[in-house]
Order: sequence, then structure tokens, then C-alpha cells
Amino acid sequence: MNKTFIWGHRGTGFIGTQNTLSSFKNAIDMGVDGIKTEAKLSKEGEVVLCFYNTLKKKGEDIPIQDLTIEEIKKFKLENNESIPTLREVFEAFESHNLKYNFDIMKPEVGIKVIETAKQYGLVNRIEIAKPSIHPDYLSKFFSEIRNFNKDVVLINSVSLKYSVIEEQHLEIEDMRKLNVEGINVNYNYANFELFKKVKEHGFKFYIWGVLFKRSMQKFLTMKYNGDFIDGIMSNQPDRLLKFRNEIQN
Amino acid sequence: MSLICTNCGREIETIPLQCAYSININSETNQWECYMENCGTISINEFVCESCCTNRNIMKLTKKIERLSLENEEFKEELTFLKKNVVQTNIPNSDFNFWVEFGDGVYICGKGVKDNPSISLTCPQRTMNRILEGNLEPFNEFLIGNLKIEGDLQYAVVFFDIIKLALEISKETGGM
Repeated sequence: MNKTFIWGHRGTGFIGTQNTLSSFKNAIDMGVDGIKTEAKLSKEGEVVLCFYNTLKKKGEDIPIQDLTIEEIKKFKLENNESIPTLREVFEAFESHNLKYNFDIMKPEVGIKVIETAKQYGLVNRIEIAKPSIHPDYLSKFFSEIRNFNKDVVLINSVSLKYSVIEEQHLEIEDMRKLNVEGINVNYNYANFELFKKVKEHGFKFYIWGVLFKRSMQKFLTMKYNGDFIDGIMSNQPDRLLKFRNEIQN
Repeated sequence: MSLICTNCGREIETIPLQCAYSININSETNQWECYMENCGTISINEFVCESCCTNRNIMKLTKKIERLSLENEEFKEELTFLKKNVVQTNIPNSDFNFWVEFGDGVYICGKGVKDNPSISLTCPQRTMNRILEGNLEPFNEFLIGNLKIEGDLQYAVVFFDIIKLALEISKETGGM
């Protein structure tokens, strides 16, 4: 029987400083199965893992894509660490059987992530996700990436209340055409009916934003055709792991 | 005849409904009264305009969450897993604002303005009221530009999740 895959959001989520090497390491030590993070490109096209779209340089907000790696590295996060590059992360955790799920805002970022993963032999360990707030249709967003690589796992994140109950908003047909593997739904709108529907269509079912004990227990207990929900992303991965051990062992 | 809001002193534009059509001043007591047919006559101590009424409701709702944080073990426990945040609301074209401090095991709130909030929320009064009632999805309001969030966006989402959790627990326990 499958176990629900636990994704640590930006590492350990609310514990420590997010999207840092130390947070990723702590998440691995906790026992997460994967890291959910955001990928951006530097001026020279190097992938960095960072939520921010801009960084302050001499008091001015500069888009990350206009900053060189050297400039990005000068920016210190709350815990005094630098923003990690994807290469640093792949190298630091290469001995771990870890998966990575990257939110991207532009297809070219996804392509760079795949190129970098290819160099480390990790394409089968990465997932590229369209963020729920991105306005583009799946076909526009994922076509270029799918043409670039036919195997990489693509994930469709959705968040809106009324979009998840209507099939056209899930873009099921385009998901099939583009071989998008799964749907990632905000926990507020995740329920058994949607889980069943997504599974019947043959897709993976992920839930993001799970934070409270009652939601963790509810979703870790939920089963369809004997299978648990495929993946849960949380800012409290330690709690989620504890409940998974209690419920799914 | 015009009615004046007891709270803000502005003229009430809302049209009185039903029994309020028959309100009169009792010249002996100098008190507003309303004739309620079979129920007799009741005295009215204050008139509150729609705006002040909504503001009161907002405070009432957020104070209920504060009470829940003291009384409900599950809600209390969830607050211990979150770092401390100060949310400051800004209601445009209104004298009314409120703040909420949540995390580190507490949820406390009050009228007015707190210095250095970690999150600032700006939205129309009705939007805030409907969010606190659980009748409006905050993230949708944010996406359509009806709710402006400044500061820690991630914890702003957590703040709304905390409200939803409070509403859910209260519904189960018959509290709200």
C-alpha cells in the first residue's frame, strides 16, 4: 500500500529560515520524502531557490533575474545564510534519496531546472509545478517544457474555491495531452469527492497548505480504492510525519 | 425625521424597516420608543448606523476568536505551533481599525492601531466582515485586488486559516 509522500515546504516550513541549505537539511533529518520550493533564474541563467521576486540592492528592489549570482549571494537571509543555488542543493544532498518539487513562474525557469537536474542525473527526482496563482492555461504554461523533456513530472496546482469543482478548471484534457502527472489542491478545497475524481482520471492527488492537526489527520486517513492521498505539502512537516507514522504504519 | 447614529454622530441613511416605521419620541421621558403591536412598546436607547453596526460585528467576531483561544484546547494548541505575528487591519474611509496578535499560543485583538505590524490588511469594511463570518474566501479577494496584503504574505494566509479553523471549531461546539 502507498504511503502519503510528505513534502517539506521550503525545507522545514515555519521552523527556521525557509529556502536555506540548513532548512533543507533539517527537513531531511526530520524524515521528509521531498522538498517543495521555488526556482528563479539569476541574470546569467543560474537557478536559485528563492520565494522573493526581488531583492534589495542599495535600498532599491531589483528583480532577481537582473542580479548576478555574486549579487544574489551577497544578500543575507534572516539566519545569515545566502540564497542557495540549485547546484549547491543537488550537491549537498546527493547521497539522499530525496525528491524536489519546484514552483516556477516562467517556462524557461523549468527548462533550466531540468538542464541542471540532467547534469546531476536527477531528472527522475524532480517535479515542475505551475503555481496556483499563475494566470496562464496549462497548455501555454507547460507546452514548451513538455517539448523540451517528455519524461519530467509536471504538476498542476490549483487553489480557487470554485475552480476545483468544475472539470474545465482542472484542465483535465490538457493535463492528459501534456502528460501532467498530478493536481495539487489547497487544503481548504480538498475533499474526498475531488480526491476520487482526480484518481478516477488517473492523476496523482496532492494537497498543499496543510497546517493543523485536524487537517493532517483527516487527509492522512482519507483513502480511495485502498490508496492514500499521494502527497501532502506542509509548513509543519515534523507534525505531519509524526501523524503519518501513527496513521499509515 | 432624521436619525442620528449614537456611536458616530452621523445621520443614518439606512431606511428603517418594519416596526421602526412606528418609532416616536415619548415627550414625557424624552425617550425614543417603538410600538411593537402585541409585544407592547419598547424603549430604544441607541440607533446605530450600518457602518458602526458592521464595525461592532467585526469586533464581536474577532473577540469571539479571542475567547475561543482561551477556552478551546485544540485551538490553543494550534496557536502554539505558530510564531507571533501582529496583523493590522486598515478599513479605508473609516475611523475604525483593529489589530490581532496571534501565535506563540495566543490570539488577542483590540481596536485601533499597533506599531510595526508584521502583516497589514486593507479591504472594505464589508469584505472584512464577510471574511470573519466565513462567507468570503480571502485568497480570492486578494487575487481580485479587493484585499491588499502587505508584509508576510505566508503568515497572512495562516491568519485567515486560523479564522477558518476558529469558525469550524465554533460551529462544532456551537460557539459562534
